[in-house]
Amino acid sequence: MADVIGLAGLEETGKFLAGQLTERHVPFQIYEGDAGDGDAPGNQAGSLEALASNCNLILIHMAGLFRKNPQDADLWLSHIRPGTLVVDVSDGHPRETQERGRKLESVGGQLLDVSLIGSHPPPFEARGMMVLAGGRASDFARALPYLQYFTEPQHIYHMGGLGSGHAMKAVCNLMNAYSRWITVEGLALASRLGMPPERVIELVALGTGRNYANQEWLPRYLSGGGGALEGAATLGEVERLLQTAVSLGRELKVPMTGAIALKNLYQQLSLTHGSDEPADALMDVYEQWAGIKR
Amino acid sequence: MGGNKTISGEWELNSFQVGFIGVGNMGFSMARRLLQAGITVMAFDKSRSNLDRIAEIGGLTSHSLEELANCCDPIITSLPSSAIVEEVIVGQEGLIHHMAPGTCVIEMTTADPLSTLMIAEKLQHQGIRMLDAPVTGGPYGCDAGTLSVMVGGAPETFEAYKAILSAIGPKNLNYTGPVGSGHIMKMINNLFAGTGRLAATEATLLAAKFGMEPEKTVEVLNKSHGRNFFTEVLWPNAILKGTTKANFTLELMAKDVGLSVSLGEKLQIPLFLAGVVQHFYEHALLYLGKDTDANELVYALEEKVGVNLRASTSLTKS
Repeated sequence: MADVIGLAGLEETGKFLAGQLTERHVPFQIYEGDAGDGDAPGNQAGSLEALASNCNLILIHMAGLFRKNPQDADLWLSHIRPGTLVVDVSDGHPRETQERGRKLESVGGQLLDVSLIGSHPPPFEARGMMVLAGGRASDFARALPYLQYFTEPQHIYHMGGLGSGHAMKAVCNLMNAYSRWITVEGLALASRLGMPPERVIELVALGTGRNYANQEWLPRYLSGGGGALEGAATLGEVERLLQTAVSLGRELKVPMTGAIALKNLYQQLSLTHGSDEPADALMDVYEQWAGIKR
Repeated sequence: MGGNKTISGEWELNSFQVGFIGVGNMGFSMARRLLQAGITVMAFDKSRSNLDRIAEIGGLTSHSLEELANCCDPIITSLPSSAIVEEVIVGQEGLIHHMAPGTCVIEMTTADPLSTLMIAEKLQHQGIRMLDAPVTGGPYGCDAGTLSVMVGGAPETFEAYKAILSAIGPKNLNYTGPVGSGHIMKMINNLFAGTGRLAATEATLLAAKFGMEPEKTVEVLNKSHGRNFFTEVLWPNAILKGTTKANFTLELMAKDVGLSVSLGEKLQIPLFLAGVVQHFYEHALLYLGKDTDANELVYALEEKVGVNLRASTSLTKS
């Protein structure tokens, strides 16, 4: 029997998926939640419970929908029909994801966690987004046709067991946060010593110091293009993903010397600038330390 | 002194007589490249065995800085620290007291840029020119001709000695700007590199401990905003294959990152993350030994964490 697709709390991603499903005449229902503007195509489900009753493959942004009342997530999972696959397209903590997976399994459902990585807003049209999934291989295979709406097949990865998609996103974010912060520290030092940042970028490209931040993000920033942190557009989101990496490291007894420092630095930046501020607020630090104002 | 040009304007390499101070591992490799290019090299080193090694491959040896200064132009320095560089160039018995106006010092140590600027200023007062030209790539890169040289100094000085520097780093010779800029760039590059190595270490160990395949983790990092030199080059080509030699010791790693940290302190820039990275390497070298190769650190942590980044598994990409 063909899956009936449910979409919940996915905002722009949900609208994009709804458009794709409509084009392909795939039956689906959508629930936009409080933040929804009701203009997504397709059948609107009156409630999350209705969506759970009517659909057997549900793509949902659990972190967003249940942030205020996480206990509601458990209640909602109890409405899921046996055989349903829930695909959580959010940046939850891997351990919470695994716990939800166990609860879902107890009512006969399965969970797949999927993290999307790409610039913000998502570059669906360019089909360059990365999709990182965690869960059973058979569930991944079942969701794959719909995940391919987002991007090219070579950008879709099954990272491992449940929680791996969310964990890998935290790992990518950790690397990026490292690159960005040290780039800012190094550039501030170089600037105070009279080296133009553009020249630093050019020369670092030739050596062992190159990274995504100094080769792609910073040039965009310096040319006035900005460039939000992919997948984590605000300081609060960066901090949250770093917290995920650090807590996993603590639990798994992996030393995270630098990651802990980074998490604290971003926490401080969130406190001084506001957690809803763009992650690019980090450049304020550079400008202050370098003694320049662009 | 210096070199002569041919009628067509090319430098005649055999017309140079280069003084070389500090012919340990790195200095020896660079001096050997000069000799192989047909350049006369006169070496000075406190170590008798280092001088013997140079003599064995056709180099001249000198027992005083004065003799070197009277015979050679340029004089290259490749020494362990800025303090020693200062002593050798502008100290009481330093080169500055013996070199003739118009001659040049090429300083190739990984040095404190502020020290370099101080030395350059003092030399300039005596009419002596200076290029700062630190290198990356280690002795192996030097032997392979892939050494990267970053050169700061007056453009005309760079032009006058470019042929010498090209003999050392023929493929990656980069003019960085005014004197001091070479050392600034080396320091910044090494700050980024030391941090990038730590980031890649933490990230791949965490992912492996969570149960993800190391190759796939690295592949995903390299397609995302998580990539850096280490995930793109070192991890796939060395760490995941179990190669033990990065040809870079933990002591050098801590020293190089520490250069940025101490300069940040002098300039009152709070380089918090850099400080953490420096301390990480300093702790590591206390446990593992200062001469431990940087790659060994990853393997030591692997063991403690209980994962194996070298356990090769096939990719299961969709």
